[in-house]
Amino acid sequence: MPVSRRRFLGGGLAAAAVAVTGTPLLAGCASDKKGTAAANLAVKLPTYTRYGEIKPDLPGTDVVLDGFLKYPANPIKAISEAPGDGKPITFLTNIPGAIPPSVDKNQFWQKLNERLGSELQISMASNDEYKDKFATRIAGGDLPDIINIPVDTVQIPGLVKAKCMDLTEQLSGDAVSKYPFLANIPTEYWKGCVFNGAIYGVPVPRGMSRTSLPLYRADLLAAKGIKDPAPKTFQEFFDLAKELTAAKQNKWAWTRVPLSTIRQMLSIPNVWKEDGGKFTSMYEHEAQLDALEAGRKMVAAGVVNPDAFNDKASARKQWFNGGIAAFDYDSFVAWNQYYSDNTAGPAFSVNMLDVPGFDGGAGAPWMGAALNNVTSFSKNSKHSADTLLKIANWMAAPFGTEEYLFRKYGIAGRHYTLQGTDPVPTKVGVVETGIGVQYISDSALALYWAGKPDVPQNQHTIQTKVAPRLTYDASYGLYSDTQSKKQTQLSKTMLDLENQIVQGKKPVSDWTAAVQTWRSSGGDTMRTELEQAHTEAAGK
Amino acid sequence: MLQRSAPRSQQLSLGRRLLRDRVLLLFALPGIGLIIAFHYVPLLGNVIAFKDYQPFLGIGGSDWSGWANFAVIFNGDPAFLRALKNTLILTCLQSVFVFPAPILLALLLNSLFSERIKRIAQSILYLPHFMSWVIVVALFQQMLGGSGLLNNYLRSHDLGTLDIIGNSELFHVLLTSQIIWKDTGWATILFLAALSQIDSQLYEAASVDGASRMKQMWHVTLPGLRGIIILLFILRLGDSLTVGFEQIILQQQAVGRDVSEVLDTYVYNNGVLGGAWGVAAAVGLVKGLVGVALVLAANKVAHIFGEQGVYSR
Repeated sequence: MPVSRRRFLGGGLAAAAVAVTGTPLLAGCASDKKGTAAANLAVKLPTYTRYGEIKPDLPGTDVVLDGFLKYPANPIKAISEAPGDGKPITFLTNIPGAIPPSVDKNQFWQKLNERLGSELQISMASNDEYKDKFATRIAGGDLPDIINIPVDTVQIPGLVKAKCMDLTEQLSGDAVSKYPFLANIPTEYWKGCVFNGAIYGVPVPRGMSRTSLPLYRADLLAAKGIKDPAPKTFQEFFDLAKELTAAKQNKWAWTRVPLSTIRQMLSIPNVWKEDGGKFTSMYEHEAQLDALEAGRKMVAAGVVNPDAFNDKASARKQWFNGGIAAFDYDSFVAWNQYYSDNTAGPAFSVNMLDVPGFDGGAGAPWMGAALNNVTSFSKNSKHSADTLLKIANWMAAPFGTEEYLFRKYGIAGRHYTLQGTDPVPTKVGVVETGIGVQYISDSALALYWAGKPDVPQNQHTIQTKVAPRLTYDASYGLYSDTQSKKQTQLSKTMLDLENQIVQGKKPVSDWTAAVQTWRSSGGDTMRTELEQAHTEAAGK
Repeated sequence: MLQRSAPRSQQLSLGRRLLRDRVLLLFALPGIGLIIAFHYVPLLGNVIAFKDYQPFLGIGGSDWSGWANFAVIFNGDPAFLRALKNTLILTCLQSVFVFPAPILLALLLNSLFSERIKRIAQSILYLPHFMSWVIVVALFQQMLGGSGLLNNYLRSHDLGTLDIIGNSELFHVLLTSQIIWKDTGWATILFLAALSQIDSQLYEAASVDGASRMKQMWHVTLPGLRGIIILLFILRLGDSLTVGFEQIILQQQAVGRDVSEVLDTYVYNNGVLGGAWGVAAAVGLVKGLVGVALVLAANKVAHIFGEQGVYSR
């Protein structure tokens, strides 16, 4: 709903992106906070070398993702030798879907081990439980070779310094060319892997694919005679929601309060905004009260599922898939996920709304968080950094390669059937391939859906449309110690209040006082730290 | 089962007593080992309450911080006070409504004449105890939620809907009701066992003297139950500040932390999720100490009133 968790992860990432706990040179010096931003900026990031073998049908830009209408025929086998060293490699990760069959019953996993040349032992937890599992494994000192570190982990700089390999030598500048598919990840994403003046991990890039806008069930709207909806103001947006609500049939337009969309209509900043070196938080924006008022109006009008505040993402997805709701606020990744979870049959069709201005004109959508996670390698690993980087490189082979086809779709016949050149996943395929290897490393997402060229077409169209108007989180790449430590708790407090306000349990005016509390209990310190880091970065 | 224990053993020396009980002690050994390994050794981890604990540095590698972590308690940090307040409210509600419920239910079951109906009723009542909280919470949401069975029915008949689940004002009541629904049946077991211990001659004698059923309950049944009621109450006091963790975490988002944060969720949210391990451990430690103090005090009171309590003297 409001600012989604993921979006905050963006903030957390920014927090983590630049380290404070001291480079070796400065260790022990209490005043080393100054200069660390500079030390991080001094790190020569891996040189970006685009892998140009595969031509997209719908070319992207720096922001817009490449789109493909069909999977390329005769995919290129891009890596000839197996990356592994023959010894088992352990990996700790979350997995977004259902728990897959264990390796002895999972042909995809078996084949993967064979192709990697090392047995991959994966310890997994569901998304909800991963934070608990991660914290316990760290506390227990029981770290695997490859670690998926969520970007909102508290004090990443200290963590990686104590436990993880410094990869600067292997990755900095042109050194990365030894791993061509890691070099194919744009420089921007590597910023999030720099801590303590060194590169400590490999990015799992997201960015544009995680930009969230209102998704809608085009088939349900069409049944009501609405084609290509494009509300021009909040009022039209609201009226559209009313039209799709039929409470007596237990149908509500929205799965949750689209507070983020409303905020984007009002040009409220994406987490932090910078203007002339001064930072302002989204919370402080004067239009917040209007946004909350509008959200409240939608709840009061009954266009949001009355259980929206109780339930987790899984329920939300069920409502949208089951046709109980016609609108959901989510990302391009979720858009694809809806197709793969589709239970509504062949008519099922999803599209996305652009964000209008609140009273007309254009809205200001928010760019998605840059990274899903940082993948680091344990210092105690028996494998060389080179081996583990080769594995990561293998996992980052882009769309169009044979490696990508296998990694995402599995083995032909068992995990997918070919329709022309398109691999259409089978049920077994969906279950067996979901072992979380995309969190070792990944190429930037390509817009594509096997057998449905209209999906990437629609996605490409909306991305092209919103790209020039995207607003970015100004704190990305800047480190604030306070943000790293307190962001989770502080944002949760604001989220609580927001939920109570839009439900009508607390007055909108409570927001102003809460912002004061937010400022005094950490917000203002974050601002000072971010401004200082920004000045340092600018002065460099 | 609660008669005063036999006079203390006949002043044997420790060695002799160990020798006498060697077989029993041998049987107890694995259990004792288990308790030491999994209950007492982990207690040492509480030392992180006095440290600026960072999981990646380990307990040994983290710096000492003295009483700094306890500042939230002594300085009355609003978030801590909020958790304390909600905990105490729930403790009171549970003591008043949840604790007596199984006693009443046991009396009711006991008054059933048909053994068959009694068995069936018992089986049905025990069932919810075996459901996990996830299921119970989901069940409540499906039945009473905004788009649940009840409200869908009301809506389709043009009646007003009831805002029960996710309503912050009703949250404490909802939690209490869920606990009663889930655990009352199961908790009757001990009381039913105690009821079956009451000598039936007492009832006969009472009815010969003309006591009505109400009088029999007051003068025979309840006094027969008094020992176990007090024992269970004291044990309950020990974890009275444990008012439910999973149940609350599962429903926290909808109602907000103002009404739903309790000490246990505070520890989880700040420690495991927020990374403030030291503070979380300090709060957990204080909570444990309060629990111990309550048990000791209650036991003392029980002794004053001539009951045996949890342990004697």
